[in-house]
Amino acid sequence: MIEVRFEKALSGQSGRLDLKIDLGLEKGGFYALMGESGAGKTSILKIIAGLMRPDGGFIRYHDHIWYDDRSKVFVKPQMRKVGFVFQDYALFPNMTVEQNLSYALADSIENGLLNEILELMDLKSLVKSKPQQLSGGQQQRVALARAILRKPEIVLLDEPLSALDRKLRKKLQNDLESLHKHYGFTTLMVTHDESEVTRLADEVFILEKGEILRKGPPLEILNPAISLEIVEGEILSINVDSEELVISQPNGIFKLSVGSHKLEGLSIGQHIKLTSKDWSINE
Amino acid sequence: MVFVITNYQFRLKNLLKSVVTLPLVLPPSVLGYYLLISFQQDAFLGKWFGALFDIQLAFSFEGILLGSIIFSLPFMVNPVVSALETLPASLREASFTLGKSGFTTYTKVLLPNIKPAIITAIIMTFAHTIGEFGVILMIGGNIPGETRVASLAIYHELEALNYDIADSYSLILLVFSLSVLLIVYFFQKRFKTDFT
Repeated sequence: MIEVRFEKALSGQSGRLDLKIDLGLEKGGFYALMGESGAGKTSILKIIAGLMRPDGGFIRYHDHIWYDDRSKVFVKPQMRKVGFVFQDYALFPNMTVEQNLSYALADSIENGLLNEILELMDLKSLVKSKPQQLSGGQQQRVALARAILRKPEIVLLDEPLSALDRKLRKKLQNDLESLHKHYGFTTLMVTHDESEVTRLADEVFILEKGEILRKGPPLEILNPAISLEIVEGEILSINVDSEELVISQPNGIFKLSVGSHKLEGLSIGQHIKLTSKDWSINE
Repeated sequence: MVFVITNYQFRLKNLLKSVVTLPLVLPPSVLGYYLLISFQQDAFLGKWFGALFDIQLAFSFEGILLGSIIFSLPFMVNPVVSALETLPASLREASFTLGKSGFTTYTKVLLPNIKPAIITAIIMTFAHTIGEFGVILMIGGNIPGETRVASLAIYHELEALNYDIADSYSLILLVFSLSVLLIVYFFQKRFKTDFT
């Protein structure tokens, strides 16, 4: 069990933000942390990792105290059993993939683990490449592999999949899930993606105004609509002749064929919501 | 010096940065004057060097060497500090979470990633030191075979109306300075393609 209870005053572009956090993470659990940009999500991860110092409170990992304001204890990040995957991956540009990974190992005896992870994450063919020669997805896999090489008790992920396309994201979600199960570490992931949270997390924390205002299983907290919503977006163009609509949506734009009677009363710029109660399975 | 400036937070950090940068803005005669005063045998620095290494600093080659290190500090320290500050904080943080100390992070991750800046700083510092005139004249005088450096030699030959020799010395320094800048730009271009 990791208990995190702290206060921290942050100052950013949108002014001052007072973080007041109270979290409990069970061993082996998968947790997601959601909140608006600038809500302090990354700061929470950095405080747990020891990269930032809170103003008060405590962080306890089982019987070990990582931080306690009262007894003036602050365990350095090097001494905490934490793996961290940064949003920009933070791979060292001067090192090859193999050197990046070896850097994480305490000694060469653990080379067996390195080979296992290289195999597991399908990185063997990339070991001699420099990070700047890799695609976003490959860099992400290396960063993840590097973070778990030290056998951390908790892995902190700062929007690790946000820069990847949908297909790649799905593959890496699978990787993340299998690594989490295989090594049994506790995971805390910052994300904006509700489908990712629903798919991976046991519990989700919603950060608002510096506090965790809601927490629980994703399906209860994220409150999906009763009907099956396919899409919600803005009308970009209406083609009466071909009876088509072009709609903009966060995932991209798409064309929709509709009956001419459905086009009546619609105008460009309108916000519409499409729902369906039917589907087909493709894979 | 760079490690201290970029790795620690302390109250007098701005003072340290100002002292390091001072030779850039201070007239060479003023800097040379203070160095000469502190290099005297009865001054702290002069006495300390004398007792420890049996070296006389004022009007000696060792003195102009130490003086050169001091007045060239900003040319070395400032570009390296700036380059380190432009590196993403996540590189240092990632190294810390991988269990590595501040020193290992420095030598294995941060410094190798600013190699172009370090090479440029070394070359520029060397070139600047070669051409220094005022400070050297103040602390070293103009002693042949001891403290008469290239720039002082030009001045000396000009005063003796030996225009031909002054001409040759000046041309050598001009070619040298131009070559140094060409090398710097060559390195910057090469590393830019290597690192991006």
